[in-house]
Formats: sequence, C-alpha cells, structure tokens
Amino acid sequence: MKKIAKRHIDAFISRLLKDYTIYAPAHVAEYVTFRQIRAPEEAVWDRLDTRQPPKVALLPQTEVLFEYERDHDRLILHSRQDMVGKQVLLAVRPCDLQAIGVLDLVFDTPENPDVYYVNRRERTTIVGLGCNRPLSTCFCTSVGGGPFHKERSDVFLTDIGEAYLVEALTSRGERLLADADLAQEDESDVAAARRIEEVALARLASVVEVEGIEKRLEAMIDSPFWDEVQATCLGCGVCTLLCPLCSCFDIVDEGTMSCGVRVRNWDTCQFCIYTLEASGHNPRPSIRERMRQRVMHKFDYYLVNEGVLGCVGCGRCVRLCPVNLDIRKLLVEIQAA
Amino acid sequence: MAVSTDQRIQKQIREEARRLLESGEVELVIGFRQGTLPLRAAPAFIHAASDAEGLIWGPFCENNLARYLVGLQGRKVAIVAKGCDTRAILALMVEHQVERDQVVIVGVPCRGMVDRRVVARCVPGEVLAIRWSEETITVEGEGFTRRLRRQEVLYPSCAACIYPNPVIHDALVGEPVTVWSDDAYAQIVAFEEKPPTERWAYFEAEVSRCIRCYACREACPLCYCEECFVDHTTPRWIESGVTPGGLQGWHIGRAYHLVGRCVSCGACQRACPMEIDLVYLTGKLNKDVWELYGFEAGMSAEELPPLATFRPEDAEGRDSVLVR
Repeated sequence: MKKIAKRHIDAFISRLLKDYTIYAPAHVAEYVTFRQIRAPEEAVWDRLDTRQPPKVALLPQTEVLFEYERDHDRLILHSRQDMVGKQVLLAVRPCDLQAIGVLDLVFDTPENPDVYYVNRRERTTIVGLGCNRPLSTCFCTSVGGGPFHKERSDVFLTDIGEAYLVEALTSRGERLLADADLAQEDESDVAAARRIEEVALARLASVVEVEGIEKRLEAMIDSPFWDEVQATCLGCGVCTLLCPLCSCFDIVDEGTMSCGVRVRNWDTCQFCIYTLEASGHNPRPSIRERMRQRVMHKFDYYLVNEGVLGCVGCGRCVRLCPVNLDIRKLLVEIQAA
Repeated sequence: MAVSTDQRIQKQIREEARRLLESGEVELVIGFRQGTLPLRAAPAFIHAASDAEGLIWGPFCENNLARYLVGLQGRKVAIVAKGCDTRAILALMVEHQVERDQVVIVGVPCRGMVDRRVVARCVPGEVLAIRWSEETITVEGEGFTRRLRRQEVLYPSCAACIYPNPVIHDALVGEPVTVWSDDAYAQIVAFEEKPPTERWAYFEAEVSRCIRCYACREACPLCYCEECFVDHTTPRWIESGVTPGGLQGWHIGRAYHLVGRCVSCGACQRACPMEIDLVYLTGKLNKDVWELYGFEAGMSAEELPPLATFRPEDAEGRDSVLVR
C-alpha cells in the first residue's frame, strides 16, 4: 500500500484530466452531485450525500443509440456511440461501488452484454473512497455493505487526515497511479486507517435485519400493508431515478418517418405508464402495485435471481422522498408484519 | 416551560381528530405524523381514534395534503389544512374534484414552513436533532448547536405567502396569524425586470437539472389529470428524454396547465429533489391572471378560473399578455 498527500491530489487529477473524462462529486446549484469535472478543485471529497449517483457516468439518463434516415427505399442507420474516451469515476463511496456491481450484473452478462453499457464500463477506472463519517441516513451494513468495502474499485482511498492511503486493486488501477506522487505508508498510517474504520463501523447502527425478507415479501403479496403505503406515496420517480442501481429503461424512436433518433431513457416502475399495455390494460394500475414492485424487486427478485440485494443503503431515497416514505421503516414493518 | 403555539395547535388537532373519528363524522383523518428525519414530518392517514395521538404539528408540515383528496371521492374525510391547503381544497371544489360535504376541514393558521434545505446549509455538519420555539429553531449536530430565526429560513413560497390563514374551515385550531408578507409578487416583479436573455438563461439553467421524476406534478393538488400530457405517447407531445427540448417542454407545459389554477402553495418546489426553482413560473402566471382578470385561485368555491370561462369583456385579444 502507498499514500498520497492531500496537497498532491490536485496535481495528480490535473494530469489525469489530460487523458480522461473525470466524474466526481461536485457542486451544482446548492447541492453536490456526480458530474463531469473540468478542474481538480471542482471535486468535493468530504460529502457523502451526492444527489445523482455515479450511475450517470455509466448509464446516462438519455442516450442516443443511433440515428436513422430514409433515402428513398433505403433505411440508413448511423451509430451515435460517440467513441467514449477513457473515464475516471472519482471518490465513489462503497455503497455506490456495490451498486455498480449490480449494474454490471444487469448489463454485462455473458449471454446478452449491453454494448452501450459495456463500452463505457470497459473504459472506466473507478477510484473508491471510504466513508470516515457515515451519515445518519446511511445503512450499508444492514444490506451487506460496509463503509470501507473496496469491491468494484480499481483504486481505493482511505482518508487518514493529511493524506489518503492508496490501494491499487486492479492493473487498471495501477496504470492510473503510474503518474501519482505516492509515498510509502508506514505502520502508523495503517493503524490510523484501522481506527478510522472501527469508528465508522460503530456509527452505523443496524437498522433492519434483511435475512429472510424475500420469504416475508412473497407471503405479503396481497397484504393490506401495501394499501397503507399507497395512501401517502405520491407515485413520483424520486426514489428510483436517483437510486444508484435502479436501471430500468425505455427505448423510444423520436423523429419522423424520414429521419430521427432512437433514444434510451431511464424509466421507473413507479410511473403509471411503465406497465401500460397497448390494449389499455395496466397490470399495475395503482401505486399499491408499483411500490410493491419496487420493494419486491429490490429485496426479493434480485436476491432470488441474482443472489444480491437491490439496495445498497446509500440513503438517497430516504433523504429525498417528498413525503418521507422511509425504506428503512418499510423494511422494519415488513419484517414485523 | 410555557406551551408553545405549535404545541397547543397539535393538541387541538389530536382532540379534533379523535372527536371526528369517535363520532363517526369521518372515516379518515389526513394530517401529519413525526417524520423519520430531524427536519421532516410525513403525511399520515389516521383511521382509528386511538391513533390520533400520532398526529403532530410544527414548522416541517410542508406537504399540501389537499393533494390526497382527489381519488377519495365518496369517503368522508377530515383534513388538516394550512392556508394554502384550504385554497387548494376550494380550487378542487370549483373543478368538482372534491365535494364540500365530503370533507371536514380542520384549518390551521400557518406561520410558514421551514425550508429543510436552507437549514441544512446553515450548519457545519449533518443535522441530527431539532427543537423549536415561537420564533427560533435550534439545530444540533456533532459538535455544533445553532439557533436560527424561523422567519429567516422559510420556504420562498411561504415567505411570500399572503394567505397563511385558512380561507375556509369547519374547525379552526389556533389563532389567526398576522400576515408577514407585504407583497406576494415582489420576487416576480424583480424577475420581470430582468432582460429577456437573462430570464431565459435562468429558466434554461434551472430546468437543465430536471430528472423528470414528476415529483412536482405528483405533489401538486391541482395536477390531477388522469393522463398527463407527458405520459401521452400517441402522439408524443414533447421529447421523451432529459434533452433541452424535453425538459423545457415539460416545465412550460406544466406551468401553463396551472394558469388560474395554481394556489401558490409551493408544494412542487418543496418536492423537487433537484431543488429547481419552479414557483416563479407559476407565480408569474398567477400575477398575470390577477392583473388581467382580478382572479386568484382557491379563494371561492363558486368562481371558475378565467381560462375555464368566457366573458365578452375579458382581456384576451385586446391588450393581451402576448402583445406586451
């Protein structure tokens, strides 16, 4: 393991900016969100509550898949996969790393790799950053994560005060660090990191026991519980669109018969038209069925089909729900039902 | 310690809710319960008199509960309503979405709701606990305690509000408050005075952050269309993505559908996860409707919004806003 002094970070990022597009937590309006940065000082290193997750860099909300035009009786397609250059996702927190793992499961399968996603993913180097002071809305440890879980990162950083401990976890990570002003860490740095990790873990109370929750949910499919949820849920898309791993999309042709584009947009199970069929029938006609779908997808179907939870405990939906419908509270109620 | 106004109101809301449910006058009370986060309250549906103790009142009861009345037709409900909520109820009555005898309005004179985002930005760390008194709120976190004046951290729509007292009610809990805003449209006038390029740049930048979650629509009591124009796919009215055309189309369409119907509650902006300024658009349209037709939405259960009616002396066609 190595370390990099914080005063050397900006110079390192400046060098990276020559070769990479960099996404990092950065200010927009009055909040901090994942977005492209163009100067090292735009990166915000000490905030855990990024509004948009790093998902935006791997699965843009709106993506043109190709252009089409009709030339007499010929249909011509133009690829619009702007050859994505190399990109770095900087200061990705462990919950969001775990979420990228779920995105990989969905889009990077051996049978059906999604070329658009894989194209971006293969050109992406991820720099993870541990969470010294998890927020009160964080619950990663309740859903199988942890404030210093490194999986899916190519490089992982631990903030030890004046410096970051730097760990290259992949060859891609090693290449990224080739140019960095790294120093050798000493024993006291490692000890400091261990203490920081212990303190962080102690801050994360277990909010819910998810063990066996898929069985509970399956038994509750017709429970009046969902009517209570429906009562106050607005049916907006905040919880799903800002979720770091919700990845449903809709494909739309926009244009005329003679020319246009095929675009892919994020979609969400919370919208009434998500399951609206061409016949006019909607198998999920109300919020009751839609919110049930959201919870069951995350805590039942993902678990049964993929062996992972569809929630990483980042707390975005908890903080941003307009009616304070708190998924942690829902889970506790489900387990107690 | 003396009992604060909010505590008195809370006690009366609970008493009224219990009485209404026990007597069978209503089958449901819509109010607020304690939220799961320090700066939050959450809408609550109470069916049993014994649950009335869970109802709360305070400076974080920010949702416009009138939004829940649409869709409850045929059920007898009581609703805890601030000034703006009562205006929304009236506007819904005019549009025949709510019947007068279906709803028992528990009116609450409102002192303005505290902007949780502004509060969070006034302190150096995460907000972990909160207390409030008549004039101040005390915010606590790790290693800090800050006292803020409530009046200085209100939501923009609340700071500008000129109808904090219920305009219609069956029961009134608490004493009417003195209106603090001397001009509902001061910010709109300031915006109007900017050059067009600056106004457009502001609109463009604000809506560029939109993620089309439609929380603004869902939080709005007057956005109750069975099929919203953005959900219509054959034909599609606007671009589907988060493109400038799609986003600007949505925000212009949304605002225009509320002409003469918006009650200035600001619920749209409070619901927006991307903190987009929304109320200046509907506010400008409210101001136009007031100046052209002398109409304000939600002040009467009889008078139709100007765009739902026609009179020969109406301004349209003559010195219309289009010409200006």
